[in-house]
Amino acid sequence: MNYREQLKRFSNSVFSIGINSQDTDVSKFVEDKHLARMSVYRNNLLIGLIDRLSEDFIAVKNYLGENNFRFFVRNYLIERSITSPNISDVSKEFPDFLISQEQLADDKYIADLARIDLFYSYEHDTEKTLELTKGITNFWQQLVDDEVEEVELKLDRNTKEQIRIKFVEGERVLVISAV
Amino acid sequence: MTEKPIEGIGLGLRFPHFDTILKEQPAVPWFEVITDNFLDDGSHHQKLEKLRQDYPIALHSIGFNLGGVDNFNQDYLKRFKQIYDRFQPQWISDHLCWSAHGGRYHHDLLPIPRTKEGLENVCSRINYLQDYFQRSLIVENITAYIDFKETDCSEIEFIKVIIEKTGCYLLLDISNVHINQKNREEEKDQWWSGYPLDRVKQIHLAGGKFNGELIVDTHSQTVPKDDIEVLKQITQAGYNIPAMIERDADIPSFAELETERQHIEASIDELS
Repeated sequence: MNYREQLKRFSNSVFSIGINSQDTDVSKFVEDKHLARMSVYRNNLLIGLIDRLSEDFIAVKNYLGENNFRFFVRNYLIERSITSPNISDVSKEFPDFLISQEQLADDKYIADLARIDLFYSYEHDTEKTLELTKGITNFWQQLVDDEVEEVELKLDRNTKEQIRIKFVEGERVLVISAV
Repeated sequence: MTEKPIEGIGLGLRFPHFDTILKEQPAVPWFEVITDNFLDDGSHHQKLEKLRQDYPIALHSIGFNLGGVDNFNQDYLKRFKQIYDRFQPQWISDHLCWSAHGGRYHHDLLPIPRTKEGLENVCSRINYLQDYFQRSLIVENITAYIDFKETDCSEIEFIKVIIEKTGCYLLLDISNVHINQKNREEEKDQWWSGYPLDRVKQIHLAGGKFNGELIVDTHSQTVPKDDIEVLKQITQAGYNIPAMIERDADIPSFAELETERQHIEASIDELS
């Protein structure tokens, strides 16, 4: 088997998370006694992604709960794969994936929470603003602090607020202002 | 930017420690910076610029995909070059592995089948990058959890031929060698003498963790005594090679990591 084919089969095997017969493809060239160890590479891929998205989407994770969050990350990996050498691009596409999920179609908050998480994690332009429904940023902050008072919020979709990033002693802080 | 050379025991620069380092100016001789953490713009670039005034750095990459067969991602190379030009590292390194195939990125270090084809492929890609950056590349030995059925040579032989054919240097990860030996239940005394030590520019030290029967290279623990012992033996053999601690998970406070670094530094210093 040529080199290119080996890499292809190895890669397919690692990305075949959730499929039972994932080692069949590599059994021709990986030592038999090491086949079970392919799980280390699958684990590295999935856990690496969970860790990364957990860091970048703290509010979304606390809102969905650990198990649901992991469920969506796993599906994200299976459905979208990873097509950028810059791992932060994976985070940047995660909100769109969440919004497209059938299970979250009726959720009133997830889209905004994911947008704020992403903005907070990656925006560095202190002039740039994100416009949101008034009150959602406070809810986001409660989730980040893990101090949620009420899940059923009374939000007026017609009243808006905007947020921007401010750096205080190197730390990111969200500044909320009325629109 | 300082022109101090890289020497002694350094540290891997990690974001949680950035502000402490800039504020306290610790006596760390040098830092290794993960290039991939600087692909996006942000205030961390300004911080690195400040740090660079006082500390020499090496750039370490995880995305060249040296053993891969996909075309090099030109956007990635261009961005790397911008970072390289801006922060002027003393050298650049990446792993002797592959990490992407067919446009999919694993963001992991995957083992290269050590065949003639694998050798020719990796040499040609190292040469491409050396031409691109107009300087020698440093390649690191990795932890491999599996072996391939078809293997033409040992890892040491593979590395030696790569160095001979491309003129690149080696980043010897002592911990990776130890993890591979333990996972394969091999016992090798003085294994390090088989490596081309005159071509080793840098040494990595890190602590792995058991995952079932395997030790995984998690960079989440303090450096094992065995690894420090090998560093001492290499030093005693006359090779004064800069080394550094990698810590990427369960990251301790800077003070704790610095204490560990000083401990290793003292154990090397007392040899002279």
